[in-house]
Formats: sequence, structure tokens, C-alpha cells
Amino acid sequence: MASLFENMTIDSKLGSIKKFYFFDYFYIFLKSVSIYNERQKIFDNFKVLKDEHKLAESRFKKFVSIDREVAGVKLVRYKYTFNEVLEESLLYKLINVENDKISLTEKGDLILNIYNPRFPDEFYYSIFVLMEQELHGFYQMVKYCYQANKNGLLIFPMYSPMKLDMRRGEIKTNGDMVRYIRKLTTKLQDDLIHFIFISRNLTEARNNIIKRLIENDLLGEDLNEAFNHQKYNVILKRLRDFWINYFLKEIYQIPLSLSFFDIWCYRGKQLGIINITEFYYNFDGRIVYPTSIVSPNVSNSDFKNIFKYKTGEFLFIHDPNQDKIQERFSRVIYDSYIDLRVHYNSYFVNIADLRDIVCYKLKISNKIFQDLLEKLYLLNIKGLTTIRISLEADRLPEETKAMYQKRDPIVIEGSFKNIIAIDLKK
Amino acid sequence: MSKLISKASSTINQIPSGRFEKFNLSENPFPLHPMVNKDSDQKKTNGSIYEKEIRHAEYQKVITNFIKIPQSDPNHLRLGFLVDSSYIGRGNGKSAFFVNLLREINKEFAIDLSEGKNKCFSIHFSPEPSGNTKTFKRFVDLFFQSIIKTDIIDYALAMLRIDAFIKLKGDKILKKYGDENKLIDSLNNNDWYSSDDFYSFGLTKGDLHKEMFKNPFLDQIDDAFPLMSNKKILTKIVNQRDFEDHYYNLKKENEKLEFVFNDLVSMFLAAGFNGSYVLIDDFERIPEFQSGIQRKDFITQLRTILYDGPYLNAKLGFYNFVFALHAGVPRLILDAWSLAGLEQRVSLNPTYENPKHIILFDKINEGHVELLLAKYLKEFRITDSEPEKLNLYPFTQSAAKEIGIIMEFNASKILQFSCNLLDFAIDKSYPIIDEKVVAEFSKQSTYKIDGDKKEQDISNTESLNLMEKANENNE
Repeated sequence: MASLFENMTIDSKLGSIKKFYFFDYFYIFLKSVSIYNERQKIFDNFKVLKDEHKLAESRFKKFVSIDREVAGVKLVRYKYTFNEVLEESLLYKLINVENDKISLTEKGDLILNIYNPRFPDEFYYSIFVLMEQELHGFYQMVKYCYQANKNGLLIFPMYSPMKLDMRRGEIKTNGDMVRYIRKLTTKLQDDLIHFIFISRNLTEARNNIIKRLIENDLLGEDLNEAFNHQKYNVILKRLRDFWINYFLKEIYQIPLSLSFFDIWCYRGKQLGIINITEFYYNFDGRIVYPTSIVSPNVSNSDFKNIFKYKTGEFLFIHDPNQDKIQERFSRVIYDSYIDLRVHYNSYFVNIADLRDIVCYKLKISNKIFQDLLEKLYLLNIKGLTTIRISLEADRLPEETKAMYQKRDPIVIEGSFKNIIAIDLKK
Repeated sequence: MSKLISKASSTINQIPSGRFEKFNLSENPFPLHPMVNKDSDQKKTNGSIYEKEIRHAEYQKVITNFIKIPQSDPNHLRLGFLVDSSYIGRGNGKSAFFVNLLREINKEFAIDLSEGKNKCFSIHFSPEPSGNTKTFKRFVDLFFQSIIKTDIIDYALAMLRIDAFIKLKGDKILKKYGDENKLIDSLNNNDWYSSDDFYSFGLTKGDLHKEMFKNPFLDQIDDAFPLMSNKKILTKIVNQRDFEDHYYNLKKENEKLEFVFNDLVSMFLAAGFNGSYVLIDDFERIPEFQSGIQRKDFITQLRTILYDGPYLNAKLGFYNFVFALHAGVPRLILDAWSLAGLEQRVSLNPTYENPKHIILFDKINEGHVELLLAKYLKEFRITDSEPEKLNLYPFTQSAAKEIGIIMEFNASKILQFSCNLLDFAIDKSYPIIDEKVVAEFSKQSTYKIDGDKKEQDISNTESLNLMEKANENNE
């Protein structure tokens, strides 16, 4: 069959996506449009719903959000997001805009009615279909991952000076900062070989970034001169962005800026197409891998077809038969638990850490992990498993005073759980 | 037929002896299933084997910040938290701590602990498991049930009557009754008032009650309150049972609240108490099963009875609540807590160091493990030649340390492990239990984690190749 479509190509418009992360934004926007027609009133309602849904500007949801008075920079940011959502909705023909009046199209109304707060996935998928019809972005993203590395894994390591055994106080001169940059480059070079078997000399890139930092007055040219610590955080951020962009463009050949790449990844994560984590327990930096494939066909029933392309290919997400995978899942979860237990020397471990490992090993989405864990937990309560699981709603030390929900919460049997212990039955 | 008459050689209360004599122990001192049930008659599980030294710092904080502050001080703490900060899951000894605090307070009603400033009783309870305690009404029911269980109403009634007695007849009655319990029983027993014992004081029930109702605190009480029936002559002497019946006949929630947080408070005050410490264990059982709205309602009602409602308790701060919070609970209730306006009064997440109302409950340390083991061993020693000395026999100090490390300094797990370990040492006929025995035992059980295993990272973690899997037929 594929030969029929051989000459057909897909034109992906990855750069046409608008800059916001959560699909819920579509809901709160369409909902506001369904109530009001005037732009300002829609925006006012949008602000209220945004807080209710704890939607932040960043890729993480907020924990506490009682921002009733929004002003200044914050208001500008809110407006920006609002306009982005508006434009993307317009792109998918969900709304009509005439002067300052905005109304829902028939399609917009239809999509809005799909939303169910308890099961928002169906709504997300409806938007996904529109996105993919218009932009073909996930098609390209999944292909990029497998082209860069045959098992799809992309790594973006990052190490602060602290991680490379240099305390902030030790960076006294410009030379010390350069020493850190050199150390970092060597480490990144090593990581490429170690993790994804790519050998690359990064010296030239390193010299480039040092040159750029000097040109931008962030770093002094004289290596013996005292380092200006006011620039410390800016430099670290520049370095981080530089290397991620470098990895993207030069190593993985993905012609996307970091911000677009992030948005595609985090939207993909909500759909179970791509997984991304910045908290893998013994990796510094972020890892990205697809939990889906693009292929004309599959022989395996554990793949769910979610989109058909004009090339005859489909986007399949990995959605294993839950009954069949249960045994493997419990083995993997136990092994991974032992790894974490040894690493942290602690009986209870963070479930989100465990989820990162298990999802990576089984290439499943966070959502599927939660479903499988819940199922396993219930079987365990009935005494039908070979392992014993205890789940608790505890708080791990590093998580206190958090502002943002950096990792998806795990809800088992209707209540939040964040630590887990597993025992083999004797 | 024989099964009709033959009996098992061991009954529930008898444990075969002999097996542990070798270690100078009458039985295995450690519980196989460590838990605290204050109503149990087994000392291994009712919290009576308790080494105060281990939680000395936490105990002192409760005494200094709660019990020693006069109840008359308007700034005394009405609400506090015992927060688990160990991050090792359950079994850190919070319940044991509460049960012993309860006993300490009720021993002398905190008169000794507060250096005479307060006379307070304490009650202790846990919300029901599996989400039965979702509403405040149900919570108040449990609260009242635990007041009943503590027999504090009988105590208060006796205190009221005895006070009237002394005013009328001096302390004759105290001289006659050496036994406090017997005196309480008599004073609250209707039959006693028609006995010769009572007549010998030359007094009538009516006189006694007339005197008792002179107490100004009793003036404020609603007429439907059980004790008020004793205002009339020839009525039956009211006792705790009548309070129980009355409470369960109250149908409306506000009647129950009025009863518990108004009238009962007045009666306790009349009896001479000036406060009470309400220790609530396993508090997470409430919010864990509540919806957002239920949580907010619950906390708003808590605020009403504690601070700004129309109740006497809110005016005086009679009942002082201490919640035991498992480490994740603050986050669970933080939203509702702020919405109900309690965060500004009793912060769950204070921005300053060492807040008075929060008692952190940390992991125990190596020294504590020794104390814990020694305490249990001591309780079951056959002969104890040096009772003052810390005697770990048959365990060595290094074994105690090792047990602590393997069990991550979790008190319940240490006890359970020691229980199994002692059995193991007996089976193997080891003369002592040193770190080698601990190592051997832990290797045999699933407690052992393979520490030598090479740590995996993403590079050597076996991860499914989706492209390959897609081509495998699994039908």
C-alpha cells in the first residue's frame, strides 16, 4: 500500500503552534467565548477560569493560585497567553472574530460540549485531531525522535557548577567560569557517547559560546579579572539554552527552537504521544522519548491508531492491553523500585520517580502508568499479586514549599499518593 | 464427643514459656505486629511499654507550649499539630506518644505538669478508617464518644457533688472514702442516696443539689441539659449514662454543637476543670476521603467552634486540639485551610522558625534504638539484677545499630524485625545476637536489599523498542 503514497510528503508546520502548554486553555477560552462576546469580558472570565484550573504560563501547573488582582507584568503575560489561545482557536476555526466581537463557530460549540472535567482526555484528543490536520506536528516530532536515535530517546543533559563539584564561591575570576564551561563541555561530550552512542567534538561550539558571552558583556575577556557574580544566573541560563539548542539542531538535526520544541513535547505528553521528564532520578537534565510510532501498519494489537495521514501512515500510540501487561508491569515496577530504594536508601520512594523509570522502560504514558498502578494496587489489596504495595500521601523533603506542580500528580482510588513501598511476598 | 469437653492447652492469655528463658526472658518481648491500641490488655500493643526518653524533646515542647501556659491566658494555643517529619512512612511512634501523653495528663489532670496553673483532662481518638468521618457532625460524634470512654463526665459530676458536700459538711466524706473510684461510683449512683451511708452525713439529696446549683457556671446552661433535671427534688441522680442517652437523642447538628461546645464546657468549668487537650490521631483519615467542598466546610466549622462561633468554647478556648499529621497532610488541606481563614491564625506552613504550635516528629536515632530494645526486653526479664542499667542482652550494641540502619529507624519496623530476629537466634541456638547474626538473618529475609547491585542509568536501562514491538505479532 505504501508505494501508492510514496511521493506524497507531509508538510509540517511545527512553528505555527501557539505558545502555551495546556489543552485546558482551549477549554477555558471556548467556555469564556460561549458566555461573552466582547473581547475584554472574555478575557476577564478567562483570567478567573485560568486560576480555577491552576493554569500557569510555564509548563507546570500552579499549586496555589489565588491571584485575584492581576496587574503589571503578570497582566501582560496573561494577555499574551490569551491572544495565543485566541489565534490558535482561530486557526482551527473554532471561533469567528469580527472587530472586537468573538463568537463560537458550530465546530467550536461542538468541541466545547465534549469537555468533561472528570475525563478531559476526549476533549484533548478532539483538539489534537484539529492540530494534526492543520499542522502535522506530532507526525514530524515522532519522526525526528526516531531519526535522531533509533530507540527514540533524546537526552539534554545539564550540569550546574555544583553538579561538577564547583561551588559558587569557588568561581572567583572569569577564568574560573571558563573552567566550568570547559568542564561542562567535556561532561556533555562524555554523556553523548555514554547515553546515546554519539561521538562528537564540542570544542568549537564551546569556543563559540564563550565568545558570545564575552561579546554580550556577560563575561570579561581577562581571565584573571574578578568574575561579576550578578551575571551568574544569566550565564547559567544562557549556557543551558545554548546547549539544548545545540543538541536539538546540531546533534539531533531538529530545526526547531527550544521553546517550540518544549511546547510540542509537553502537549504531546498530555496526549500520551511523547514523554518528557526533567526529573529522572539519576540523570541531570531532561529526557524525551516517544510513546508512539508513525507507521503504515502494525502487527501488534498493543498500538492504538489515533490519526491517519495522507501518506497512508498512521500515528499509533503505545497502549498495551492492561490484562496482558499486568505481570510484566509488576515485575518492572518492582525492579525499578529496588533501584530507587538502593539509590535513596529509603523504604518509601517517590512514585513520580518510579513512574519516570517504568514509563521509560515500558514506553508508556504517565496516564497508562497510573491506570496500571491502580489496577495492580487493587489486585494487591485482594491478595492476588506476588508483591505487596503500600501507597501513602506523604511529602518528601525536597518537595516542601513548592509553588508549581512540576510533576503530574498520581491519583489512586480517588486520592493523591506520592510515595510507595513494595515488598515481595515471602 | 471428646471435642465437647477437651480444651486447647494454651488459652489466649497464656503463652507457652520456656523458649526464651535462655535469654532471661519470659517470652518474646517484641510485638510481631506493632501497633498501638490503647484499649488492648496486651502490654506489647497498648502503648504501655514506652520509653519516654526517646521522645523527650517532643514531650517537653508540648508541656512548655501547651500545658504550662495558663488556660486563662487569652493567647494560649487552641490548636496544634504533631507533624511527622521523618519521611519514613508510618510507624514512627506518634500514636504511642499520644497515648502516653493522654495517660500523663489524666494521671493528675495536668495539675502537676502545669505546676498548678491548669486542671485539664485529655481525650484521644482517631477518625474512622475508610472515609466514614467526612462530616463535622460525625467528627463531633466521635469526639463525644471519646469523652464518654474517658469517663470524664462521671468524674466531673462527682467533682461537682463533692464540692457541694464539702461546703455543707466539711471533708468528712473524704475521710470516710479512701478509695477515689468507690467515692465517684457512690456519688453518681442513685441508690447510694437512699443508703445508710449517705444518711449518716445528715443530708438530703435536695440540700446537696441546692448547694451544687449555686455554682455560677451552671446558671448559663440550657434547661434541657441532663444535669438540670437534678434541680428538681425527687429526681433520679444524673450520671454519665444520662448524658450519653441525651446526646444520641439530639437530632440536629447545631443542638449537638451547643451541647458539646457550650453546655458541656460550662459543666466542666463548674466542676473545676479549666481546659482540655483533645489529641486526634491519624487526622489524614478525614481529608483523604473528603471532596474539596467537604474539606472547606469541615475546616470552617472547626474554626467556628474553636475561634469565632457563638459557643462558650470559642470564647474561652476550653478544648485545645492537637492533630497528628502524617507528613503529606498539610499539603492535602492547605487550600481549604487558607479558604477557611485558618492559615492566618494557625499556619500549616509557617514562614518562621520553630513555630510554637507545630511539634515536629522526627526519625529516631541509634541511641534511641538501644533504648527502645532495652525497654521491651526489660518488661519481660525473668530476673533483672541491674534494673537501672541499659541491658540489651542478648543483643549487642552494634546489632542494635545495624537493626536501626536496616529498618531505617522506623520504630514499628525495628520492633517487628527484632521479634523475628529473636526467634531466629533461638532456632539457631546463638548465644548472643551481634551484627553478624543480624546480617545473616536479614540476608534470609526480604528485608535485605542488594546494595552491591550496580546502579542503572538510562544508558543501561532496558527500554522497550516500540518500532520493533510494533512488528511483533502478539495475537
